[in-house]
Amino acid sequence: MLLKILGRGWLVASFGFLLAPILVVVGASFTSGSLLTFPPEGFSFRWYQEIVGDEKWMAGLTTSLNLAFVSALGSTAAATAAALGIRRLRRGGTATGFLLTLPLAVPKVAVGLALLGLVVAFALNGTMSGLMTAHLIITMPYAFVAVSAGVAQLDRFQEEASRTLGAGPVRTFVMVTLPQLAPGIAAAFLFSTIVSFQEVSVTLFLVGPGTNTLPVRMFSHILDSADPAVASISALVVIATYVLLALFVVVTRRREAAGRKGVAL
Amino acid sequence: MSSIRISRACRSYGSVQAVNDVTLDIHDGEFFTLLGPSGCGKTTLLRSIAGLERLDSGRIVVGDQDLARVPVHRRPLGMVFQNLALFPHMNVDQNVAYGLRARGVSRAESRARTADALDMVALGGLGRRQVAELSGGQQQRVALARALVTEPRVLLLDEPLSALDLQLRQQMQVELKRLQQRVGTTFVFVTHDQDEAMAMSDRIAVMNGGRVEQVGTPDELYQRPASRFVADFVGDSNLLDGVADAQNGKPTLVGAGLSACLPRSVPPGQQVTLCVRPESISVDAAAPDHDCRVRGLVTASVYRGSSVRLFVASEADFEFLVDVATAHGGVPVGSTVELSWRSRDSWAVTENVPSDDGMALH
Repeated sequence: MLLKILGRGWLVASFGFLLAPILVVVGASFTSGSLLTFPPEGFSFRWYQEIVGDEKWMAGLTTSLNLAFVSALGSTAAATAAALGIRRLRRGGTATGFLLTLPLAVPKVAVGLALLGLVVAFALNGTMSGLMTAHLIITMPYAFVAVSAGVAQLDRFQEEASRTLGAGPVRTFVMVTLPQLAPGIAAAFLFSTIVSFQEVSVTLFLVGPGTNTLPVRMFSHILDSADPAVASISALVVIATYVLLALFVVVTRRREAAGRKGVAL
Repeated sequence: MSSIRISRACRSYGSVQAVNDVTLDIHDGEFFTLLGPSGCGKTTLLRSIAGLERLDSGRIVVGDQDLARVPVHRRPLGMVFQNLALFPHMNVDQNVAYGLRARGVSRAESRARTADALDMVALGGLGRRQVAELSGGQQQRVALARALVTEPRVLLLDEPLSALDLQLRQQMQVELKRLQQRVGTTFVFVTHDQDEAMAMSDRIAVMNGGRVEQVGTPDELYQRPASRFVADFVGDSNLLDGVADAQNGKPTLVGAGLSACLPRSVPPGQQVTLCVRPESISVDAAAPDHDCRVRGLVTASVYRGSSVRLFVASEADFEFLVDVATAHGGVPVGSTVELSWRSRDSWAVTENVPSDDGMALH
């Protein structure tokens, strides 16, 4: 009994530790004062109105969403192709997979510097194409890990069964392989989007005047001012991300539950 | 008429000859089984027929079509997989209709044929169910319906019953055999279970180390095994290894610490294995025509319902398996008995030297 209470307490404390900074930001965003403080002075939506009305923030948001969508689409497609390709390798599959996830272990600053060199070499510095290329490369390992988990679950015999039933390779892929890979592909897209959307350190090297992303704008904003606008934006981004993740969990849970119910019957 | 003709098929993986110079003729409408221990090449051979594996050399002809350049999805075959490989994201109807739709059959016609196929396997009305909601036996039948609905020339089955428990497996064996007789499709069935093979097959090819050891009806394999391996693998038997000799003008085997009459003449000096089935041996009941006799000590006795299996050690320490009818009465463990049999109830196997009496490999 005591152990159970202690365990519960530990759990609550852990989550508290993880979530406290976020609560501070969200709390601070409702201040009515003009300085970033906690606890907030009074309560108002002043800073939310401020950011919504500000062209600078909205442009940043548009840039970030575009960037996240396009790079997530690209990296998910590439990761899916890579994971399926690796499955077909006779040997070296594990090594190739490891290689694809290796960028996760490289310091972001080094990646940023390297990508800057690359982007400059192709005269893409400061352009949206350059940023998209960079984000595609950054998000690819995340997408790859997510899709690989799905690919590992695929049953080779189902694809063979499809072939023996008269379906060619394309029909087999569309009707049998892809539907079973859907949750993994969705997860890959979701993670890529989130990673791209909140990426700062690499992006800092690559943005130009017309391509400032939202997080980069936030970063430069707090460098020279202390108003709570950044807190309001952060709060919005955090909430949007959590809603997205929660939706994903609910949907996959429902799929799993449907599967389990079937087996039990 | 032959349904499948396999000639000189070879396939190796590295240094392992998985399929080694196999030639087979499978007849139209036949229930044909590839039987052998794991790793004998039976599954590789089956998958080569389906086109899921490539042969290094050799030909496979179905009907009058050489399959060498025909891709998997254009072959006139159906296949049932070991794990069934039903599509979990489709319901029963969609699973069964899959092959029809893939082959361009119209929606209306495929609906009707799907319903017929499900009726055929006694699953009528369950089309809307999810695959996961069905029992193991029902899933088995969905896999059969799915493979048969396209009316393939040949149905390939890769140990589809191995995941079932014994009782259900025996029930499915009978169902499968009945189904095959009703639809008249050629079945090529792969199994390592000799009981299963014997129960269902019209003919069986026994495979070992990538080669076909013998092709024959279950009765031929049991009564007249072509090799020591077949005699050992198909059914229980007492295998006495020795050298042929002639004593008192009669062909005799000398070895295993005894000399026993051979059922046919074998050139003296030749290696020979005498195969005596446990039910051919009498205990302490030698009739005048029992020309083979040996004394032994009963070391164990196992009750098996209609019969009792005795383990009898001869003086040379060869362990005989003997089945006696339960009605015969018990034989106490530790007693000394006389075993006897008619040489014509036994079978002599001379390895690698085909003779004229049923020994020739297919």
